[in-house]
Amino acid sequence: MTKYNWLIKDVRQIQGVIREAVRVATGGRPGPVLVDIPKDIQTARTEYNPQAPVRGPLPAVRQMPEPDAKAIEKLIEAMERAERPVILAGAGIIKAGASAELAQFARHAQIPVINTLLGMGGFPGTDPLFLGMPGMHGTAYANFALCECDLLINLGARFDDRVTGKVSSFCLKAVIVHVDIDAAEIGKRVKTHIPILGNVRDVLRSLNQQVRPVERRAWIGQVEAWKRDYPLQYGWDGSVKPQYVIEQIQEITGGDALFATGVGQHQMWAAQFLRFNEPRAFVSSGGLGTMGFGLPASIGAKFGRPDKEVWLIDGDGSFAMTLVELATAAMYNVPVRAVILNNAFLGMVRQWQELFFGKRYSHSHYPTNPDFAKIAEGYGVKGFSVRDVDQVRSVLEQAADHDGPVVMDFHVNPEENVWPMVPAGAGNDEMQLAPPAPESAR
Amino acid sequence: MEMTGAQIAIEELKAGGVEIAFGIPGGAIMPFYDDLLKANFKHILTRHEQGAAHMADGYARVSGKVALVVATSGPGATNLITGLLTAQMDSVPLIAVTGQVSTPM
Repeated sequence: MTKYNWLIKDVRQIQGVIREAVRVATGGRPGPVLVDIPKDIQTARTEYNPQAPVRGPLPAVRQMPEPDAKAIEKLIEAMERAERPVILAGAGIIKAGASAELAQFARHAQIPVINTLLGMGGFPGTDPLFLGMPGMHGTAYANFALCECDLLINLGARFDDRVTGKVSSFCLKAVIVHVDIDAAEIGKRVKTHIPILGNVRDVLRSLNQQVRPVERRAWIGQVEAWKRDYPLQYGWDGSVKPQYVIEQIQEITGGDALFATGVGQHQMWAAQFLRFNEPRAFVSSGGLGTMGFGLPASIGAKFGRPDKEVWLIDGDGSFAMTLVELATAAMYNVPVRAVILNNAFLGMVRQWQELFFGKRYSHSHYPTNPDFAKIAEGYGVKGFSVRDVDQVRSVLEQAADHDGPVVMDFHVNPEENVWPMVPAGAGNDEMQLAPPAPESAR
Repeated sequence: MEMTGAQIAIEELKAGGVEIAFGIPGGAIMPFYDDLLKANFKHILTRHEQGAAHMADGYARVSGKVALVVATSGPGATNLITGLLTAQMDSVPLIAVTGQVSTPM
C-alpha cells in the first residue's frame, strides 16, 4: 500500500525515521510512506539536536547510477537505422522534470511523441509532433503509429495494459527501448531490446549531446496524414455533448490551468480533448483508477499552485463518492471550478455493457441522482444546473469569473461513448474507430 | 533541547521541506495535533481521511513538493488506504502520520 512504512516504538527513533520518511517518499521513484506513532511516543520527551547525524538513506533512495553509455550508444545506432521511430513518454518525464529535454530531443531527432495518460503535459499538446494518448481510448493516429513504428522509445512509462492492449500484438515491427528509473519495470510486460536504467532526464541530456539532426519527411508526412484523416470527433445532435463541454473549457482557459479528473468516460474525454501546455497540469488517477479522486485532488492542487486556476472535470458517479469535501472547499474558500458531466450512469461501465454485455445494463444507472447544484448550495458553494447546450458557454464563463468554489452540473447525453476504443484483451491493431451501429455513426 | 516525540516529528518534517498537512484529528493522534497547533504548522481540516490523502496527492502532482497527511488510529488509518494506494500506483510522494494506541496496550 505504501513504498515504505514504520511503527515507532521508542521516541529516540523519531528523528531518524521522519528524516528517512521524507527521503524515501521523494527519492528515486517517488511514493507514499506511512509512519505510525503510538500515543505515548507522541508525548514522550527526549533530547533533540537538529544537526545530529542520522543513518544513511535506504537502498531505494541511493543515488541513481549514471545511465549506461553503451546502451545509449545502441539507442543512437537504432535511431540512425530507424525509418519510423516513435516516442512513448510517460509520467517519468514529469517526475524527473525532463520536459524541456524531451522537447529538444523530439524536435531535433524529428520523432513524434505519444503521451500516456499520466504523461500528459510532459510534451506540449500543441506541438505538431504530438500524437496524444495511446491504447484503449487513445487517438487513432497514436495507435496507428504504435502498430507501424520500427523503433519505440519508451521514456518513463510502464507499459500499462491500457497502453499496450494485447501484449502479443504490441509494436510487432519495432525495436523496443525502455528508459526507466525502476529496474523492476523494465521487461516486466513487454520484451525490451534496449533497456536503459536511469533517471530519464540524465538519459535525455546525454542523448541531446550526441543526436544528429535528421529529416524524416516520409514518416512525418504519414503521421500528419493520419492526424488529418482520423481526428478525434463526436456527433452533434443538439444535446449537451460531454466532449463539447470540454472543448469549451479548453477555449476559455487556453489550456492555461490545472485540470483534475475522476475516473471513467469523462477522464478519457478530458485526456483526449484538453491540450496541456506544461507538465504538472493534469491530475488524474491512472494506475489504481480511483473514482472520487477528482474533487479532493483539485482542492489539494489549488493549495499546491495557488497562482493557477484549477478546474475539475468529473462524472456524476465519481463526484458523488467524495463530494463531502465541498465543505472543505467552502471552509477555506478554495476556488475550484467543478464540472460534472452528468449522464446519470456509471458511464464507462454502461459503455462496456452496451458493447460487450449485450446491452444488459446491470446496476450502472442512477435514475434518481441528486440535484448537484442544490447540494453545492447546501455547502455554501455556488451551483449551476445546465440542460441546454446554448447555456454551456455562458455558465463556464460565469464560473471562471467566480471567486470561490463552484459546481456546474451538466446533464449530458447519457448514450455518448468514448471513441476510439481498443476492446479489453484485444490488440491496438483491433481498434474500433466509431460505433459499430450505423444509426449512431458519426 | 528536550522535546516531545510529536514536536521532533514536526521539526524534522519542516526541515525536510514539508509545508502543509491535510487531515482529521482523533483520540490517538491528539498530542500530535496539539503540537501542530503550537508549531503554527499549516493544516487543512478535511471531512474524510480519503479526501485528505487525495488532497496531498493533488498538491504533490502539481507542485512537485510533498505534503503531510494526518489521521488517527483505526478507522482514521483505514480510511487512508485508497488514497495511499492511489499515490503508490502513480508514484506520487506523500507522508502519512497515523496515531496508534500506546505501546503498553
